[in-house]
Amino acid sequence: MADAPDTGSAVTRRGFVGWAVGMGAAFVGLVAGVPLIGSLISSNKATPGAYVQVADVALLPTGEPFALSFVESARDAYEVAQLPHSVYALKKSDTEVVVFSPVCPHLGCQVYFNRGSKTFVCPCHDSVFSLDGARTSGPAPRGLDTLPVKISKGMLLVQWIQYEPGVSQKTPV
Amino acid sequence: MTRIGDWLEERIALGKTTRGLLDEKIPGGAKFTFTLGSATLLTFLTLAVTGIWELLYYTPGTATAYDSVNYIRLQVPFGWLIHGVHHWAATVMVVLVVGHLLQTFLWGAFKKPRELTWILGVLLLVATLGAVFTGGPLGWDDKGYWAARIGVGLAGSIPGIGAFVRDAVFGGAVVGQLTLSRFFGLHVAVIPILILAILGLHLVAFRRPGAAGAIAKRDREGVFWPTQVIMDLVVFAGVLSLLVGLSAFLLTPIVGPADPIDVTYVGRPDWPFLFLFQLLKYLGGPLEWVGFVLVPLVGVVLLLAVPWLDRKPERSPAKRPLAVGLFALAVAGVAILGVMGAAAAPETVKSSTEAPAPTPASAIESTPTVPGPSVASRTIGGADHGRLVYGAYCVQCHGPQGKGGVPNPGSADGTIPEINPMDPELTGAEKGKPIDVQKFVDGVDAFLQNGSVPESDPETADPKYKMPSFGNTNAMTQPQIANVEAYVLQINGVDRGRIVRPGVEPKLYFWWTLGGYVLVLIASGAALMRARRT
Repeated sequence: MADAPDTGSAVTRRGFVGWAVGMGAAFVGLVAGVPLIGSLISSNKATPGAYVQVADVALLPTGEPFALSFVESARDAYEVAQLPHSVYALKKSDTEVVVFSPVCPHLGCQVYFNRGSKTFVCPCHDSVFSLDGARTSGPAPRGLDTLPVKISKGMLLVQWIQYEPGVSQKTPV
Repeated sequence: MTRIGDWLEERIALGKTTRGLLDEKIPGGAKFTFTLGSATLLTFLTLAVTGIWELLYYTPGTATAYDSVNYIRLQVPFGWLIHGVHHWAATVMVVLVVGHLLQTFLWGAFKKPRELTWILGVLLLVATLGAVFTGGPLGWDDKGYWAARIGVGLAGSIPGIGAFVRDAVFGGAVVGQLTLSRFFGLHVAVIPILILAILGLHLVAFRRPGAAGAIAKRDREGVFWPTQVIMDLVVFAGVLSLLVGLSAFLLTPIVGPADPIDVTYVGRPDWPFLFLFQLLKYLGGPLEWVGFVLVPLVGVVLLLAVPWLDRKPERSPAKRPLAVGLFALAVAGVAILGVMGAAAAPETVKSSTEAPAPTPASAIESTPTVPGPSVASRTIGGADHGRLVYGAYCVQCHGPQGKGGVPNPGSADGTIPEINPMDPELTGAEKGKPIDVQKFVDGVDAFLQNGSVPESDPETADPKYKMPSFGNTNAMTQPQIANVEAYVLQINGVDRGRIVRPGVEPKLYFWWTLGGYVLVLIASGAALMRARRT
């Protein structure tokens, strides 16, 4: 059979071969590409931890934030790690304690409490928060995040939650 | 020998290819000012070789990365050099890439038909910065950890696509093992492969139209071999000697292990990113992403577009005042912001007034003693960082520099013990014997972890002060304790991070290198004179 140019047909032989190779390549690309890209989106979500006993409420100072640290056994991907956390506990009365996460809601640096000015200060980009956690200056998009607390038999229990930095809403990561 | 050579030549034409590469024409002749590109290439290869060597010891796990890097630096013969050269070569590489780019711009060597070489070069600059950014956290020390934390925070705060970018590039919002693995994969595989591929194209695109050469006096034509090769070698040998010197004299600092709740350390980005760090201070709130996404993006796009923005064939910088002026302005802006960022704040906050007083730590002292050696005692902390932790937790009782003297009524001694000099019973020091560093650390560590009650004066009641248990109550983290231990050893004249197996003593090795370099200079000087005469 001679290689006659099939002028009548819309699809030339050359065009068809090109189209078939393209289809094959697209198939390979899709089969390989979708899972490769899908696997990149890691789902390392923090699962909310249990309430951890952190201090005896009676021994906390009243009216001034007190730094408390504790270690929580938590899952980090495929590992169980001892993750340290620190919080600021502000006792208002023996039955009311507000606990702030020290993670700056701007980019996630660690804020410290300045006893002189009675403010929380982030050392990275100078965000400042008042004693009740409200933002007074700096680039942070919201005030300091409060953490869920319980007081049981005079002991303070805190649930560690990490919130999304850089956004104005307080949302767990 | 020639038979093997002929056999190879017949199959892969090695000699012909090499001759072809060496016969590159250089308009205006070989010059030392043409060596920046080759110095960059050779520095990249230095990074590749030292990086592969580090891989033989390094483990990318959050629990082991820090210790494995310290093992390379302190225990592996010549590890200080391999790690040091990798560390400093990253800085030198950025300087060389930027220098190469500035020179190419000023001399108009990007103009038609060399636009593609320029574009690939700009991409190489971006890839180099990516390698610097992803390399920083791999040591999982405090600086690297916080760089990752802030990088992840930045990525997540891009409007709309932030969470996607963060999860895809950094492996999620919570900085942990997956973040480290992601940085590791990018740093040792993805980015180097990209750099190699772009570099290959960069060299092909460079050779196609040939070297741009000198702007004026182009009548003389030089050839790459041998004069330019000798000049390239002289410059790179100098770069290598500089890297050995930096590694020997400015040992990469041990800043202490990653501490996710540390308030005594303030994250600062690596120096190439300081200008962006400074820019973020001015662009707060909803404009923030403009600072770290839009500005760099526009910058890169403008750089890529340079061959079309400045398209007249004129190469001499004096005859393109507008292009050179605008470019100089942009470079000056980046440089000024960078210097301001570097000078803006100290790397640490003064924590002595802000950190918690240790006394009520006893309020939560209920955890039982943890048996066996602690994590801190096996971790090499950073003494400088430890000084700050000491200022926050220890100075009230043990005094500045550990000199003691604080009264403790009711105790047998009457004062709180000084820790400088440290009681030899605790350090295990014996006269005439070298000090056993691990024994010293273990002695200090037991007190920091468990606390202690001093022996009381038999005639009075209990001592007024006792040492709180810092470790077991989590009043201090294990990284903080490791840092304080390094500091306590330092004030006692013992270096926690000393090089145990240097191979050759760092400074001695540098003097050897320098001697060798002088010989290289003499030999190449003679060779260049000879080449000029012929």
